Amino acid sequence: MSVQTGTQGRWGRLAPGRVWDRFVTWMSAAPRGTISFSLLRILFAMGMLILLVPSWPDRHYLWGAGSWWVDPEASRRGWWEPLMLVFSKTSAFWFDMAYGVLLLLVVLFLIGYRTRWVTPLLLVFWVALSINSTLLVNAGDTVMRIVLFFAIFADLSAHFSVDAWRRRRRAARGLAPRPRPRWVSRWLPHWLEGGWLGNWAHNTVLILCCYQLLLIYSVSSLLKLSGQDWLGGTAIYYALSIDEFHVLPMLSAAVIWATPAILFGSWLTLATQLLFPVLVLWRPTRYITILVLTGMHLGIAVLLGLWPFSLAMIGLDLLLVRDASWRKAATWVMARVTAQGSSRRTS
Amino acid sequence: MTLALLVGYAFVSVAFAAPPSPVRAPVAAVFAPFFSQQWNVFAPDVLKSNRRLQVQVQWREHGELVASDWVDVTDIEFGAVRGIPFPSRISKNSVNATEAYVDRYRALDDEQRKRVRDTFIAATGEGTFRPIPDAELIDQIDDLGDSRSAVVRFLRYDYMLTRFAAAFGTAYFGHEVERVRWRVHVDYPNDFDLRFDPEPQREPSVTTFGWRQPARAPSAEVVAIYTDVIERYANR
Repeated sequence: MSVQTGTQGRWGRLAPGRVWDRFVTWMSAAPRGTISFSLLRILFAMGMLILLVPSWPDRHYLWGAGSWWVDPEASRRGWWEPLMLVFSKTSAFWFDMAYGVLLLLVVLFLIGYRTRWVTPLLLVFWVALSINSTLLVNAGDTVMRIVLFFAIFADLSAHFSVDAWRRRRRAARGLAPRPRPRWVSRWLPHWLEGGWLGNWAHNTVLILCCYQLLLIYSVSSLLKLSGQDWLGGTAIYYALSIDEFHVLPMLSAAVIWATPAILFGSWLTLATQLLFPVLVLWRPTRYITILVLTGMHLGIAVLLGLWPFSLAMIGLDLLLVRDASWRKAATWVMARVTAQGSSRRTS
Repeated sequence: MTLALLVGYAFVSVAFAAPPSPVRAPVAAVFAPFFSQQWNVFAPDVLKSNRRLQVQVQWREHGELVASDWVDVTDIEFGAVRGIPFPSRISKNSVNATEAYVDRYRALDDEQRKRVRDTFIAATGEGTFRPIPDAELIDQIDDLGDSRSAVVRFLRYDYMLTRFAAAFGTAYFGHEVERVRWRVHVDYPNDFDLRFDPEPQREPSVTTFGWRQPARAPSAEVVAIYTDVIERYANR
């Protein structure tokens, strides 16, 4: 009898009406994944800085006046004309000004200052730089472009940010959140801040980002499955043999000598990406998958120098971790640190 | 609303990411280039060749044309990132240009390929030379094959490389360049089974293209930018 009741209860939970109610509550009650979104903000900003700062000495050659020869192709990509004027190809001064503004926006994004305003501006400058040349865009730029557009409607600064610190400081002083200037209210969709509509927008972005992740891994793994290198376990060797990616040649050569690592790494990458949609359904396998993928992306970053792509993908992967899980992990780490500290003191 | 957005975006993104289909063109008309995306990173197989762009130029000394040595542009750009954990994006520049150029070259027919490996410069009959006009060149090459659009696509990239080679050559050799040409040098890593063999399994291949005459000299500002890069990475 009790089994029957339990079964009924389980099936009852899956009734369409109740599933819909739970979905509506999940969407509107609170913003989800706020810690992960804050980490995504930091990882995206780090990826951008790792591109912009080392490329600083070559900026005019790559995107400025020195890239004028690419224009016959670049102008055919269909980007909005005014966007192509942001980074000047005729004035080194105005190019440097725009590059400086982009760097400033990335730093503000990193520290989470006025993030709601900085995010769309950053998107404009980021895209404007990348479309000045058709030769330099890679998958990481594409991920950042699409996800940053979605992220305009999400809360990226709930944690680890100046915005969060300012909110806490006002609250500690017993002050209400700072009212927005009237002219801002007229233009900004105010429902994006707080309230159920704000939560809905934020959570919709979370769903879209998770879908984007699913798409990338699914398409990529299905294509890999149609080739020979990944199934044969040799793909990592060939990737490390491409001159373009020899940023640390000694390290690449050392990995090429480690045959089991090449075989195991190639197969593990293919299997994890291919099974990703299933593995993320159950929490323990989801977190193992995230660990494996993070390791894979860090390997790509270090060995192939593809830092922006790798950090962007790690940021997206982490969106699958719930706020409650981050808090539980932080509590566990703090308890271990405290225990170690007190055991040292007593010994 | 959320589900509508998700389904709508799924439709758009799959149209771009899946193999080409009749759906892609109408979707691209509305959502490209912002939402265009392809996720064939290292898939289905990893590229098994290393392409390099090498440039040669000619300038006049006492009325006579002087040819330079070949300069490996890609090698200079790679040199900028070797041993640097957080590299500049300069390593993508000429290597990606070469890849796009070779793809367009391969889209031509055999006779067309033979023609584009020859010069695009014509004598005027008065001891001087001029670049063959675009329209004439397109007709010439189009007559040798089937696809006019493939010819136009190739010549557009050829024109771009002419500009690039002229700027690079001017900065590298310090002369006012009159003619440029380039070759694509390709070497191949050994197969996995022979990865520890120091002898290359296959000989490198080299495809040399004919001389081109830039319509205009690169500006002083552009030459200064290229000179700066060459001084830093080629130690000249």
